[in-house]
Amino acid sequence: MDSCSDDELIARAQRSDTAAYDVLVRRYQELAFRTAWVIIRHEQDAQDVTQAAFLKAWRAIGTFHKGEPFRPWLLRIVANEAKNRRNGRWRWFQTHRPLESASGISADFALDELVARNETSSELLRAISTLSSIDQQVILLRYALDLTESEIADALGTPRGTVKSRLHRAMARLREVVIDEY
Amino acid sequence: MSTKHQPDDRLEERLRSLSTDLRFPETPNSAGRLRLPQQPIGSVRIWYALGTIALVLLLIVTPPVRAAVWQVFDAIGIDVRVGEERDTKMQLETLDAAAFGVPTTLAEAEAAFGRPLAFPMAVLSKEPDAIYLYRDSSAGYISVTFVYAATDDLSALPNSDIGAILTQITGPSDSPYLVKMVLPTSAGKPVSMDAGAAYWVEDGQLEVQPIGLSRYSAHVLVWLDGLTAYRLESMLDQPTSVRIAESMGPREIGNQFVLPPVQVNETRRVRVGDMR
Repeated sequence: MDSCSDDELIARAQRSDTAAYDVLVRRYQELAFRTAWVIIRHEQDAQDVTQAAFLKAWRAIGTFHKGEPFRPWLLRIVANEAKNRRNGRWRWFQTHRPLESASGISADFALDELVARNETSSELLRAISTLSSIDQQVILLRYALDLTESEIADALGTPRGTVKSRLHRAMARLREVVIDEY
Repeated sequence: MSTKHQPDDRLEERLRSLSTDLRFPETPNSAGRLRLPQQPIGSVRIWYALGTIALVLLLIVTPPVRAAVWQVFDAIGIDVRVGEERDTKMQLETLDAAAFGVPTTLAEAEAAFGRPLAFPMAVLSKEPDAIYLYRDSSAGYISVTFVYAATDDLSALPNSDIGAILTQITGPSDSPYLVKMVLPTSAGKPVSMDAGAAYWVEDGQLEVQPIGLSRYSAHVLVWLDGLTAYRLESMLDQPTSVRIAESMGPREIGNQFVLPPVQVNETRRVRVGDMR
């Protein structure tokens, strides 16, 4: 069943085939988890959000329109769930640590659950950490998760033009930080 | 930091490599572990929806329950409390002079705040007419308040010539930065914003804890972005206030919005009380 297309798996899931839905979960759980993490920046919460989102998607799969792409639909559910979690508990804020004044990077934005595999990316990550949370979010969704602007717009529930301008602004700010290198 | 301009290509190329170079926290395996309930179908789903709507209506029309709902949304950073009406005769300028601290310059405010201040890029994109700095050394709170004079496009708050008050506050994380008082009769709701959690309150109160004074406030949006809590008070509606909140960011150098540095110049220091 692993080789089935999304459409086939969705059609089966709509007939209450849990095995087919499991394949969809396996296929998208990493992207769902990372999207949730980028929005709430808390590993445990991101895990909870991912599970809750897949449960919601299961309940709603009967309403899914045949032929539409599954990925943006799922990401919208994940992002909504993550935003609700963040708004309800503000756990991200509660768990932050004192400012790391020496580096000029606030721990809240430090992205320290992310690990870069080489020094260049590590430096870039540090530069991204100095941006506001909204700038970080749009840059990570676009480049670290490789979402299209259209998928980001769908997930965040904002017009594509808004995503485009936010990304442009975030890039301009990032360029100011790393301009000596790039 | 240089101001030279380089093509984005190398930066974009590096950013694209993040998709393979970053290791996120490990993804939990949800497949096979989800307890998938039977899918509700047809009329059952409709009854679920109607039941939910009825419950929400019940919550909204029952004052004690509504008060409890506010408490559920309490959070560190901005503490939303339901309170009783208090003396609200205090004039805006007297109260806010105590609440918002002393007039200062932008440079002083930024230095005291310890991190770049955020500025609205939409609606309030002009230079603030006054800047105030408040420091509570014992508790570790610092707030910077931008005051915008009323204009033809920016209605005045009641009993004043002030169009908008925008405060950003930072401090320790183990107690609230800002206590947002709402009355049992206040209209308020949590608002979803990309920057973070937010509340919109109409007909609330501004309470100044250290001196125990309060006054009615105009429409207020409070929100958090990272380590900073924000409060925007104005007569603007909720969508416009949210638009301002979502436009907040550091000054953009070289683009259309540049806030000139505020000089140490007494004529520029507009006190809240002087604006009447």
